[in-house]
Amino acid sequence: MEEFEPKIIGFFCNWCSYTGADLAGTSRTKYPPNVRIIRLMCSGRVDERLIAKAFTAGADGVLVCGCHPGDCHYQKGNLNARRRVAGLKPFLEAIGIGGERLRLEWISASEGPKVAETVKSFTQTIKKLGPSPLKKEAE
Amino acid sequence: MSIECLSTICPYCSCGCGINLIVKDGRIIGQEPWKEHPINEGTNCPKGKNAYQFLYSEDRLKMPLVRKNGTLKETSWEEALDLVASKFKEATPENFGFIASCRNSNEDAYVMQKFTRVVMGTNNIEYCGRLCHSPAAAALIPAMGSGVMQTSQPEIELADCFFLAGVNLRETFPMIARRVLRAKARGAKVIYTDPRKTTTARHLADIHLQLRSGTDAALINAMMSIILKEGLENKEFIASRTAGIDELRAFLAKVDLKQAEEITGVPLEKIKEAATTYAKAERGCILYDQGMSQHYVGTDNVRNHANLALLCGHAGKPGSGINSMRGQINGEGSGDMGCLCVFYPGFKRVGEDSAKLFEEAWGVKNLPTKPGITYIDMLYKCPYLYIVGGDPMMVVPDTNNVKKALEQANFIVVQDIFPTEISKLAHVVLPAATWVEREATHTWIDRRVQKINKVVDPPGEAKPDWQIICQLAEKMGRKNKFNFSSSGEIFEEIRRCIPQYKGITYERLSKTVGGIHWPCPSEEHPGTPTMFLEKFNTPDGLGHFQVVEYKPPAEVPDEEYPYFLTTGRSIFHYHTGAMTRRTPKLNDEVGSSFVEVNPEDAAKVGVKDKDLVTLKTRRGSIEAEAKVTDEVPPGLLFIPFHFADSCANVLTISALDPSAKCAETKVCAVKMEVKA
Amino acid sequence: MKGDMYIARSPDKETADKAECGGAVTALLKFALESKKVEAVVAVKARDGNRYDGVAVVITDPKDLIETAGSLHCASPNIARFLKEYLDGAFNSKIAVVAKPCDAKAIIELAKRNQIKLDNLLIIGLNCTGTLPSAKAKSLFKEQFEVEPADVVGEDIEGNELIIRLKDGSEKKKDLAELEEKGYGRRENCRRCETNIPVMADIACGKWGTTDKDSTFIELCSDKGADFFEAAIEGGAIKVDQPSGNAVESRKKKDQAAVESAQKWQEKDFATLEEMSAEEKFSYWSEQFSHCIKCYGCRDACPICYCEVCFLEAERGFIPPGEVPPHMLFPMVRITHVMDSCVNCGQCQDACAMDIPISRLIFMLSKKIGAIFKHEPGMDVTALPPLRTVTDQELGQEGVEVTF
Repeated sequence: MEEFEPKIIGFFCNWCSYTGADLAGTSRTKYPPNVRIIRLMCSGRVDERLIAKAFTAGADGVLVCGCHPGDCHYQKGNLNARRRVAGLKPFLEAIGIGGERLRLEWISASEGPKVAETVKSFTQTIKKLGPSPLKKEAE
Repeated sequence: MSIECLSTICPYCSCGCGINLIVKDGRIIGQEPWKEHPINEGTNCPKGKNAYQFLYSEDRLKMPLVRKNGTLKETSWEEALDLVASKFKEATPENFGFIASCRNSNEDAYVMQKFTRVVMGTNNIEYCGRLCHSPAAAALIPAMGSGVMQTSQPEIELADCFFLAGVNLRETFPMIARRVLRAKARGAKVIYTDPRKTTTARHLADIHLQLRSGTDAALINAMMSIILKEGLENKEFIASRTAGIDELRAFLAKVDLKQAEEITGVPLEKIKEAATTYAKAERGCILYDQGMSQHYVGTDNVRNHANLALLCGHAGKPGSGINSMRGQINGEGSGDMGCLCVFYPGFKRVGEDSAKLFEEAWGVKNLPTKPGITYIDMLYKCPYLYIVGGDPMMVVPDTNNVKKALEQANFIVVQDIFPTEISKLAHVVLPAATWVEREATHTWIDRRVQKINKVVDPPGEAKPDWQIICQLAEKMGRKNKFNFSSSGEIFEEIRRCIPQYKGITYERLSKTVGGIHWPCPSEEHPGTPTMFLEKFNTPDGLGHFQVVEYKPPAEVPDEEYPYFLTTGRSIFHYHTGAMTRRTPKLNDEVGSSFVEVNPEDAAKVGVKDKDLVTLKTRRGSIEAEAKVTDEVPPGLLFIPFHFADSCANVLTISALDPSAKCAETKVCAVKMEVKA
Repeated sequence: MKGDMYIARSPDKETADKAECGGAVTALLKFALESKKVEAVVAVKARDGNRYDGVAVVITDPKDLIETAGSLHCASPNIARFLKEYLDGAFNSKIAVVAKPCDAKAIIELAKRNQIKLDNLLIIGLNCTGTLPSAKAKSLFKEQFEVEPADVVGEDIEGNELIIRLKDGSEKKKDLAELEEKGYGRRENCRRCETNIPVMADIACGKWGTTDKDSTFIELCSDKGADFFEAAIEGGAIKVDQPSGNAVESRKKKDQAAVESAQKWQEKDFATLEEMSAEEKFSYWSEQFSHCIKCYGCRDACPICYCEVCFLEAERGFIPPGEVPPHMLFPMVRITHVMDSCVNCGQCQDACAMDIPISRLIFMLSKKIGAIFKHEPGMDVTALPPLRTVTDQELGQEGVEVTF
């Protein structure tokens, strides 16, 4: 039996977290390849539809990474993301997808190691949870 | 700020759901739920939620049109009707045909058949019900005495086993699927026969018998044979309420189950499961539609399902029976009113006796006593045609030949609300008022009569259908028999002539939300939700078994035309799309035709999803966009019939049922090529 | 002043007799029109006198008000939607609207979204412990009370009992909980609704706290409401007395009891959804959503939904068109777009042809989200939707956690 390799969609904001991911890359930091990173201008762009779409497209987990509070290029985008993620978790829980499949992290442009850590730990979490039930629907 | 909230019934299918229209300054600006209505209790399907937009479409017919030098030109009612009257005076009882509609009201239908019989002197009056539910009458009159729906919609929830035969219920009757769903919540089981794995198969059925196209009779014979072998038939019911079991038993004893499995393509285990589930139920309910009817063996199919119902005693009680699912707002009513070449109003068979009866009722002489010509034959044999609210150029098989015949016609009058394919061939086009633009009654699927009130004015000079016919009758010198000044007056005459309607009045209908089921013999009678409670309407009161031998479809796939083609519907559209294609929210969902192709078949010929393909049969060819899906099994293609620019009936075969004269639009042989 | 309470009735005998509880509400509406403080009144009337057919009406002539007098328990027209869709959200005219707590909450939510101009509205709130579904009420009366539906001239919910008043003057009553166990009784959302007194309206009117059948207990809930009511007193349009301390207490107690009953129903309703494993939940909701026929009934009915071209529409290109059941994204977006603001009006549930328990799910989520963000939908027009609003306080906060 093949080991389950999670497919995770990562919405990374342009100004901080994506840059941080770049840094992790250039530093040759090793981390699991399970996250497909999608660059957005701001984590505040991530709304319910994007997250829902990621899951229905077959993602086992969704990672949202934004700037630390106070550092958002657009002032409060990351705080929007924080609220939306907090609000979406009960929904995912209620319909049996599971709130732990959605995670939010603050990652700054210089925090390359944090990117690696986050991806590593989240991939582990999702591995333990198993494939998303929506995956069958997506196929 | 005068805003009114006025109740009415949805103009689409035969369920008869209530809705509220919001009217401001004589225009409908919105709709809201009508929560009291017993059919839908404030809910609606997608079409019902977008009920009124079609009324305001740009191209509503507003003025009479007469063809001059090849083009239709606006004219006055005087000129148009004078022309029609003069032309019809040239016609004879043999070469004139009137095709009424399943969508016009009871009052309209009644006047149309009266006009055809009294003024034109012929029984050549038909309506589009001929094309779909004529097998109901042909099969069920001998079987049980009547082809009407036997139970009422609310009572459907009482059943503990449903047999959905050739009806994609979730898409074609969502508000009845709602009832089945509620019964399921209480443990009811759903058996479903369809060559396609539709949403009904996937989301409503417990047992899907995915049979090969046109093999229903063989399937039912197998099921009945199993039921008898297991001793699961309802012996008491058979003994007390039926006749003819011995012949059926003898016939079924010879059924080869292995052969049935081969013919139908349904594993024997599944046939057995379905048979025993249905037989063991307390209250089995057969709901059937075009998957059964629209074959050249349609009558046989219905006969056999009636056999099944009688065999298991699932008839003559609420929530049971074999129920023909008429789909149109007046599919039942126009038939009741006598728009059939073999029936006078109230299903009085055409002949000396019924002619005499109506001569007395109408105060006329010399009513025609011979049965007339059926719908499809009319198109080929009657050079003088009056066609109301329907489009033979889209709904009759083998469109190319139909077109050739109609192009030879001497004079075609089309009366409708929009320009249609047939209006392109008409000599005169008359604009009709529809739905809430006039007061009228309709009779919905479960013999439920409801009244539609006038809520807005018709556009331009459009008039109610009955009014146009009356004015024509006047021009032809018969004003005294068509002296109606309101639909209410017509309904009074209907009550006098049709015993089933006798106890129904406009007043009672205004006070009874949900309407009144016929038969309703007197004004004190509450109406009859379920038929045949004590006995069937046959001369001996018994249900009659009729032996049915399986016959394969008229045209099956071969080397040249390697696939089965079947036709059907989408939930978002209605029949020829005249109304729904003009409703943006519905047309946005499905904007153009498509052909469902199984992935295996697609791979074999190199068809990808959304490729344009040419479909060709021995009758003609059309183009459609491929939809690669496993909703169809390998070897079967499916196309909806809603789109004039990709007309399914160009492909279909005109094999007619000998008793019912409906056509085999559900199966023929087709080939498919990718368009270069 | 805001917060004042009165016992009130109409000074006009005809109104007092025909109307509920002394006709105070009708009297206030009359005053509102006659004094030209509003151009129109939106209320509910029994169409053609049919108690099971309550429709929203717009009244500009005070003479017509008498038609709307009397509480209809077997009707639940969508008042907030009516205002938004057909009266331009009150942007162009001053309107007095009669609203149950759910109607008033829905209006407040729409006002937050700039779909209704609250300044132009005078909201006369009615106490409510629930309404009955129109069609089913008739079977309830026929089968359980054994009376002809047409003979019922009034209904009341008193504590645990459903009382009906008949044409011949007699009364019949039954235990509401028993009826509801059998599947009859109030609409599901009504049973679990804790908002019995419409304190979010301008004036709250009801019978709790009254001691006879000809009075209405009034609480002035806003400055606007207070100004209006005091003008009505001054204009002789309403007769008032002071409520006793006992009356105020009694009202509080009855409300408390109703709130407790509602909370029990909430627990019960939500338990059916919570007490499933994750697999069971997913399987349950997949099946429920597979029944959907994409009628958009829930979306149309929902007071929170107001987008001119909704993301669920085929023309937006987001949900694959022409499919039933629609793609899973359809219910996901439907739910997640409104779940922070659900007022438990149940209009979506009434609209669902396939009995999908959507109101139960969305309201349950709304409660959870409300707890996370300390937010209650429909109460305060300045408390903007939590999933759409970042507060200034947050912006300036130190050490904001990832979680809320």
